[in-house]
Amino acid sequence: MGQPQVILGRTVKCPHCGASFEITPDALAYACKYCGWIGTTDEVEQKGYFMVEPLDSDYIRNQVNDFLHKHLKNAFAEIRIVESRPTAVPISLVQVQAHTRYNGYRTEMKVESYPVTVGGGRGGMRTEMRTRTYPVYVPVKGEFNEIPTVSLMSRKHSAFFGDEEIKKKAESAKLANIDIKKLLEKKFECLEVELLEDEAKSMSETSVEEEHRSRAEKMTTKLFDCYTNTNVVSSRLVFYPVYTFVYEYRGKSFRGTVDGAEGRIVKVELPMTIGLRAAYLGLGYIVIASSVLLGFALQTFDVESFIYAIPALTSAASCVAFYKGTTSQRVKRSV
Amino acid sequence: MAQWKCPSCGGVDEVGGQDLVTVCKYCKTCYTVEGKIEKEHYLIQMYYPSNRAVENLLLWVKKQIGAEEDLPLHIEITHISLDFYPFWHVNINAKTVFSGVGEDANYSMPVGFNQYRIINRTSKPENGAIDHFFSLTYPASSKIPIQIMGYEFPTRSKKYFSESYTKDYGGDIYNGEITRTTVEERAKKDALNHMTDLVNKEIFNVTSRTDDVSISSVYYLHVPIWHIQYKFNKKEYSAFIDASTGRVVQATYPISIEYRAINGTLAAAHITLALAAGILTIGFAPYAGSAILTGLGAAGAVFLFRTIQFGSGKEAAK
Repeated sequence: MGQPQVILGRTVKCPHCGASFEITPDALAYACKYCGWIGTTDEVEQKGYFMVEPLDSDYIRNQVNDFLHKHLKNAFAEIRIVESRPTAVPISLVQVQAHTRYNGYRTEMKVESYPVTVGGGRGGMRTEMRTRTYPVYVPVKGEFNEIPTVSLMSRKHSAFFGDEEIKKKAESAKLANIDIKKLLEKKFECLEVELLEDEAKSMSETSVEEEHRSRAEKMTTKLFDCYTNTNVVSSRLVFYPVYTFVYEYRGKSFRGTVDGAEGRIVKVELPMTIGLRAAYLGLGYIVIASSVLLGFALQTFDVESFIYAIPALTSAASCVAFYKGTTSQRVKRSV
Repeated sequence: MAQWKCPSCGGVDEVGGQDLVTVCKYCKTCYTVEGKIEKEHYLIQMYYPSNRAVENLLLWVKKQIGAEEDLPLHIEITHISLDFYPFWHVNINAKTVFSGVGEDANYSMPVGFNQYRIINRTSKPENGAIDHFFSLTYPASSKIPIQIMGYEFPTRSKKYFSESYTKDYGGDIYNGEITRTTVEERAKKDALNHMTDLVNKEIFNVTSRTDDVSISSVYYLHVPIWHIQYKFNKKEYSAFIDASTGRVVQATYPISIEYRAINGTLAAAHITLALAAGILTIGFAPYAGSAILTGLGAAGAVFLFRTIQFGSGKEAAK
């Protein structure tokens, strides 16, 4: 069998049946619309790409059904999956050796107890303990020496629902040499790699540098110096199987993303059922009632240090409970 | 209007006075006002025709709390258009080597482990180098609505730009008002400004600085967005739907009067109860009184927010 003939731009002629068809600029591989012949661009299999073995779509469908059944219980009967799309997402896994030196200081408030002699006259002199608070300066100087793996999608300025969770999954996935035909046979859309290898490396180095700076800034009130030296240890390009789906429930649509390698739902929008709303609102009232009871108890024991904590905590917890109870939907993540 | 000559076929194209990038109406070549052919020109494929875009909008609106239940029955669509908006995407590597005066500190009067009462901030000669990678996206037309300025491209396949493809779907192509040269200069300037911020974090007085900024890739992309305008109860609303994924990029929608009334009543009840019970209790039981006041007050505030909230939202891209 011959090689596909590129006719114009990205139109190819199938060597099997002779039909011509257009391929997209970011198609890594393609199937002939007429005879099903599968071809790849630029000898993909020679590029050293990896993939994570995808599960069958039937298994994924069962997993999605089980998940929705577990979380929506009786409402499950009203659910209809209206769209399901398998995509092999290119993810760069770049291991970066990073050495950061930082120098700054942190301000803290120090509480000190000291004795004071008071009184006189008939009562006599007595010693009391008092406290004073003053600022102290803590020099913060140190190093980060790490080899983290940075996972980034090899597409430009691109996003999909659940992409952060999938990138995390890719960091620890079991890799296999790419078998593009297997992905196409399982109906995966194989997206081309858009980031150049050097771009992925530079982006990863910048990402680690920023993360180290952010960590150092959190440790200090003022950061004087923060210098990072980076060196890329390894770089791999992995095609990760992802199923994105849309389901309808009572005339409303919700999205979800499944890890196509493990079959776990990594992120999903779930409807707020009446029961759940009632639970959140009930929780809000329980928080208020508990705070009132706690207030009476603390007053009985004359504990003054909670004078500001009780109203602050009650309003925060009550706000969260009532806000969640009146929200449109909830999003569940699992990584 | 202006007339440009296509560098590929020589055909004359009529373009808007602000346009700096266009597509030849004869040979479909994308070229700039400087007469340069733009090869890296793509478009994101569309998978959602107008009926599915409207359907997605209604499905999304229906799950928004308080949205009018009758919207699908009485919606009056007054305008629907498919717009292909242009964006530039630029990747840049920047390296800055600098020297100058940085800060340090001496500490005195120890008051515990690694704690000091007095800090004396000092200056020191300092030099260093910073490498940074930038991935920057710019809307290429001033006609791009503000609602989709921060748009992230969907993770779906692209096509080489094809005018016939956009016309097949009845789409309008918006020409770019920024050329590749301009966007490259702007991206370099933005990168250098960011590098200045980073250098200023290290030293406060710069005595020498060398910048090396190089562009690693640039591409020009048209993205398909449905713009829907509709009326409900004589009021106008609008929505932008991603024609590639069906995602609601941004939409406004009607909130039902019943919903506002229920929440308003709940807000009034909670706030009144909070004030009455809180003030009555706080005199003899300050902790319990403050808990009633703030707890029920917070609940009332949430219901009040729901009462006055504007019907507007978007589906997160990620």
